[in-house]
Amino acid sequence: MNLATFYAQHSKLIDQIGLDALLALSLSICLQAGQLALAQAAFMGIAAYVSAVVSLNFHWPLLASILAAMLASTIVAGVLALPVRRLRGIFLAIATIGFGEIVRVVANNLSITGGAEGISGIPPDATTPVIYASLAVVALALYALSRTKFSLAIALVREDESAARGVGIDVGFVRFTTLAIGGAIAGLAGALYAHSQFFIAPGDFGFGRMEQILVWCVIGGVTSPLGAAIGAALLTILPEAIRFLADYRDVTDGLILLLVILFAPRGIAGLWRRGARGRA
Amino acid sequence: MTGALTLERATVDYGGVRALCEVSLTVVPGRVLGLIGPNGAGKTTLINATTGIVALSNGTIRLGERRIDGLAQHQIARAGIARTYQNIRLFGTLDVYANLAAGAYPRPGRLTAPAARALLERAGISHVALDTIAGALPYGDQRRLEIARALAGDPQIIMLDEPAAGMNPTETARLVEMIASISQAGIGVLLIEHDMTLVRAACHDVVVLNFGEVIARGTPSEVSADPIVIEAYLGTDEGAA
Amino acid sequence: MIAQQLINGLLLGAVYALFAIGYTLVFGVLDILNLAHAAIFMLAAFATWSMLGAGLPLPLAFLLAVVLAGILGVLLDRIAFAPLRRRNAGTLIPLISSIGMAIIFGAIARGIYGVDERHFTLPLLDAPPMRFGPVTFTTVEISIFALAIVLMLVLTYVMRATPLGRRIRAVAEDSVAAQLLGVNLEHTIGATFFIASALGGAAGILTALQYNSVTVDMGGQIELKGLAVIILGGMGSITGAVIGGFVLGGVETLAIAYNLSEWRDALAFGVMFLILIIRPRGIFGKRALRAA
Repeated sequence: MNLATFYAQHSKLIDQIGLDALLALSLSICLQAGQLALAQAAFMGIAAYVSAVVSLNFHWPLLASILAAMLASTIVAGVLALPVRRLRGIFLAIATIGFGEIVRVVANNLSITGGAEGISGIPPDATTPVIYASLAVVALALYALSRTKFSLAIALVREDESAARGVGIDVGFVRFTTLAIGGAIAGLAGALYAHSQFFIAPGDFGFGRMEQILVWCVIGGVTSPLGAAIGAALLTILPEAIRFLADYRDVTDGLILLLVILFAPRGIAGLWRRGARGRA
Repeated sequence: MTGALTLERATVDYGGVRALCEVSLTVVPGRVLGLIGPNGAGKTTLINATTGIVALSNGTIRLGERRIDGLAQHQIARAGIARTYQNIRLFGTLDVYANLAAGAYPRPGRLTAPAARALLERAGISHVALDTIAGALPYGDQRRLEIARALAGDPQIIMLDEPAAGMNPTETARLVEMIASISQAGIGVLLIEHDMTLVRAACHDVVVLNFGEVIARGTPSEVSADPIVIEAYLGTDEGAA
Repeated sequence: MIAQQLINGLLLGAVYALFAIGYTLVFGVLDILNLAHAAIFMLAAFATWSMLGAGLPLPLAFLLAVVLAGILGVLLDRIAFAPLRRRNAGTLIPLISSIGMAIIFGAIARGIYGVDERHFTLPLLDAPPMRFGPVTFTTVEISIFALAIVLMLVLTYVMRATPLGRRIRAVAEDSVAAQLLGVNLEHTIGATFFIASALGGAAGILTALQYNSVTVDMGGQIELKGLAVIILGGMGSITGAVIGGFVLGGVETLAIAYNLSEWRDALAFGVMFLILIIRPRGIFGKRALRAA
């Protein structure tokens, strides 16, 4: 089997991996700041609908459609950051889950979003090169971010907010910014998702997807964006690889998650670092 | 421009308790002010009020001419007030360099490795490697790393909350030297301590708190001879609490 | 028909309350959100369906399924939470662990029952609705309501008047002090999970009977609604879960009454969101936000 045949048979999966990696990255940045902000699926949904509508109703080209969608999701994320700024831990998680549900209901009921039936016929412009080029851009941007002082601030906020304030870090700003960045990346994923599916519906962006994204990040390593992306890739490939287990195959997702939690809580990234240190 | 830290009639009420009552004191750059008092006297509340963690119900706090009560914690830190914590609050899973860089965060540019090592030297822990995980350091080194972190921001005032807790006499003596060199560098030091030996050796002046109020001021010898102070401590003023 | 809406609201609220008690019990004792609760809700319903299919009478099937749910809860704790307790793992990790178990439970259900919707064939369910003045309800509905109330009363009795209840409350209040007073922590936690999951399972069976439908996904909605209930009522408070359940049931029913039926979920979560912003500890919660 040559590369072309392999691609033809698995293109959908390959695209999915790219999108899932983007989604994992969007949650990862929030988790790195210690924020259990579970609204990425909602941001993705908002962006998917915005990009679908501007493409179908206003015939915007792909790039403009993506940018409009990302703008929308980023603004929503920034606005969400305000009321939740004092929430931490489980409370922040629940608030963002609630937000996600509200978005789902709104999408289910507006005519512009096509209600429960969603929107179909979106031009499938988000081909594999487009998806992976976007992933590369985001990866580069995050890498650049990791070399700045701000990335230290993110880690400090995660470690100990009060001590972070004590050394002069504006914790509110860090939380706002990471949530907005997460919103932007999730928005990119959403716009690309819309342009790679035949149709989108409210159910695509609910708590089920959010849980999945969280699982990828945990398996990859909560504080490691690369780990998150790898976790996403692995768990996206896995169901396909074990198709023969049929109805039982989802059990492996759960098993892997449990095994990671119980024996490797730092995730794949943690195992990697442990290995590196051991050799040093 | 350096300034003194001045509290004027600072009062803190929370949970129906008056934790701090009309406390006035001044920390002068270049001098070490000791803050002592029995447990629960309000010493940590005073630091928390100064750093903006709790709000003043009355009174003012100034750094130089600038009023800082009411500012956000990070703004107060950036204004030049650094602190250490009673229960050590390092960024435990990050390495020594990251902790120092954290302290230096508001300053422009990035903390260079030589500058980081200079800070470690000032704090007397030059033997520690920059890539050691902070939480893995021995207790005494962690305390001094916390002080190094506080110094990293080039503060005008540094507040040390029981830095000698858990230290043996040798380490305490080295702490005295460190505090002296910090104040000689022109930084104002507020030292909260139970260990009277340390207070006598390191402080120029002392303020005594009890039940949130100032009950005595003066030099360490004046204050340790003051009957009111002795009564407040019920004779437990010698040695570490 | 205000009266009819009231009845509907009470019924909805009773089931919400029953389910939410399970969440709040576990949170109160362990500070963790158990996202496998809804999976046990679903499994209990399927277990009942299977047992009815095997010829067991409904009361017996109900009882056995509720006990099975309780056992699953204990198992859940042993596998997914207990090892983490020894490690002092915080609150995010156990949450994820519960998601893992939820996935496994769901996969097992899907493996055994597939993705098709199942129905009950019970004469009870075909009984004609009864009319009492302005309100109409079926035998099933009144039974569900009565059973839910009975279970809540039994729980209240257990919590207030039995040594076990006292131990659970002690551990919820301060697990260290409780241990110093001789409370066996692991046994108490196990009992808490048994009770919480049994109630959650009961809620599942009642819901399945009410709508005459059992699917693998049936826990999806109540899983999230339950969060709204405990936020409203206060995390860790059983009274809060009950009152919150009825309030939420009332809010949703009102939405339906005012022709806002499609927006009722948004309303429910909107209320929850507002509570989190204005008064995060809810009506009866003692757990204030931990200061950052």
